[in-house]
Amino acid sequence: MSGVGIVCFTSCYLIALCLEITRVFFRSAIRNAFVLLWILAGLTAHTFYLYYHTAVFPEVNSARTYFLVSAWGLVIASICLSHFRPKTPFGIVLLPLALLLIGGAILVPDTLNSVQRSEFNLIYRNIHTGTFFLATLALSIGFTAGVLYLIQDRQLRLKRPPFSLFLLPSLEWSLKICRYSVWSALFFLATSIVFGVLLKLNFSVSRNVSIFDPLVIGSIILFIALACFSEKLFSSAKGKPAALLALFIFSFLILVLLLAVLLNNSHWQEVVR
Amino acid sequence: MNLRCIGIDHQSSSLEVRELLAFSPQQTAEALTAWLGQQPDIEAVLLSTCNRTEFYFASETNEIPEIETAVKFLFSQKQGPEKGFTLASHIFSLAGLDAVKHLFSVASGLDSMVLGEVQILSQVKAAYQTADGIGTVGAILHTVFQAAFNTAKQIAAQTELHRHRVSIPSIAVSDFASQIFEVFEGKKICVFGAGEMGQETVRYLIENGAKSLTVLNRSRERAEQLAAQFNGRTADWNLRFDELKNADMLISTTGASEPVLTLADYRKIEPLRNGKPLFILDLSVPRDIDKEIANCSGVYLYSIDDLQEVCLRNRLQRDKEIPKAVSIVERSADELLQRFNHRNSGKVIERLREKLSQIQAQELERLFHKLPELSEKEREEISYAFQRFAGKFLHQPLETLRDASREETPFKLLDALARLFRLREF
Repeated sequence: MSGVGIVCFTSCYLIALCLEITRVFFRSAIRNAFVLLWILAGLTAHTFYLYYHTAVFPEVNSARTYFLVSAWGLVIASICLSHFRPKTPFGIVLLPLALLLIGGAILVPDTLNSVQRSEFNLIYRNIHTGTFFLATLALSIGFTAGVLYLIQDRQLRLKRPPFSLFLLPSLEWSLKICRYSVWSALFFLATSIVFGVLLKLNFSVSRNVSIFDPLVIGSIILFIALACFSEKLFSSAKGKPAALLALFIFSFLILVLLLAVLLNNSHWQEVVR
Repeated sequence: MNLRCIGIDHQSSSLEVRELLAFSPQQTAEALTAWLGQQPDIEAVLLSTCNRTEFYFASETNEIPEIETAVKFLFSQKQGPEKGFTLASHIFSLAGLDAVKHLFSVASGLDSMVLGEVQILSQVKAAYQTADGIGTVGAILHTVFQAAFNTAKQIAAQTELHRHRVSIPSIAVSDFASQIFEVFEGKKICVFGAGEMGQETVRYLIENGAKSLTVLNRSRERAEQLAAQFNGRTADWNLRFDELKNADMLISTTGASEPVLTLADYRKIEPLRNGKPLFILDLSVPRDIDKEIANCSGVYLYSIDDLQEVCLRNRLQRDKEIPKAVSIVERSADELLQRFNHRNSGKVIERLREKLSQIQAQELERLFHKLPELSEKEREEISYAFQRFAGKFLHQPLETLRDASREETPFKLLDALARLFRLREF
């Protein structure tokens, strides 16, 4: 199993995505089973890859691992959501996001450090990176719900009947998921920032992480945006601005991650030293 | 196939006529019990809905009652034979494959007044179960009805006949309201006016879980009647804007000549709603609700024209599916007929083979008795040669029989075979 490569699971996810896209064109009684089959095959290969190729899985200890674990989480989220609403094409939104993250993992160099760490440092670091990963996951789900909300809203405004080949979730459901996702992301991001600060203050090992690091600045801006807008928007029952907020925040997160990748950011390595 | 069907439906007769031959579930059971007493060997199923009364009867033998006998029986059960004959001109009758195709079309909603309606399948199932419970269902009707259920299932899975709703209330609730709200339970419904279509829409919503209903009408009495019908409450017409502050859905069916909710009125309520979505169904002509309200945040406004447009589109979509559904009916009926024909031929073929193998066994026994010096291997070879001879001898006639069975049961051929080889009655 150590021979499993990124291509294996990426291909499986791509096939599953292609099958999901066919929902738009024709009806099939067996498609869901095939989609699940390919996703599960990909997920198994993905899990083995993480186990064998990222020495200390499930620790998130490099940019590549972060991207791969996030993609892995998104695929699981896609399976769970599709299980509860089999007629809704969550995969069409979530699988491309997962593939995007895998693409990110391919682009960044694998700079895993095998520096000795204290157990205390390890716990702090895992909470810091783990909660950032969960925030990413929550924001991705929020993004998916937001996209589905906007499509459904547009359909209803144009007075068009539901699509006959697949079902979009109701506005009420999408909005609820958007809210839960943004609130969860707020909590996870706050925890991640707090533990990042603690790592910076308490461990000399993280001294090289600057406050001007794109990931640090990005996370803080994300947190402030979430805290300011979500309270205001979600205290009212308005749906469209909330969906747009989920989309905007997720796009910002992607921008931050892209910046971190393009600037060959040292944040990932510093926290493990 | 010895199957016949007589009946009246929405195509052959008016509602007044159909009412005369409508059977309640209890009357259906009584009629079938009477049939069992009169014709114990003839299978029967009686299907009675608001749009049709149909009587299917069948027999495994060649003996089957004439159409007139069944018609007389049906009338005698419902209203006496004398009066019954005045209805005879409305009765249609079908036999064999036509009856099968008709049943398949009925079960799949192809023959319904509202094309593709799904309730009919459960009504056909209920009719079959009633007959089965009484004991009037035998091998033929069991096979035919099971095939009808399968055909209906196939049509539902392979076509979009049932997917497009065609009534205004069902489109309003299933195609639009349910795209906004995940559940209707706990949603506040406001009804302006007490129009018939509004009532239908409320019925749909209540069936889908809505509970909180407030009816507002200029005539308080009519509002109370409607509210009582659906366990709702009434409110004074002048308080309609206050009621709208917390409403999730508004159904308006007043006969007012001017809008009862203008944009200016809504603008006053809007801040108090805190952005909560409002589904508005304006089923009045002229409009009750100012169309500009549709541009307000969180408002989803649908007029009767919007819904009728979808209704028309859905009807066209359903119509497009008819050829596909009809071809499934045709194919399933042909398959069923072939199964029946092969079953009838199969009995004769089986008996013919039995007879030949008996002769074969007797002749081999005689031969082996006369030639006791034959070794085991020689005996085996001789037995094998006999078998091959019998197989080759039968091959051509059986092929001919099989070919003939594809279209219909070849009763003449089967009869000839039975006579020539003196087979038992098949």
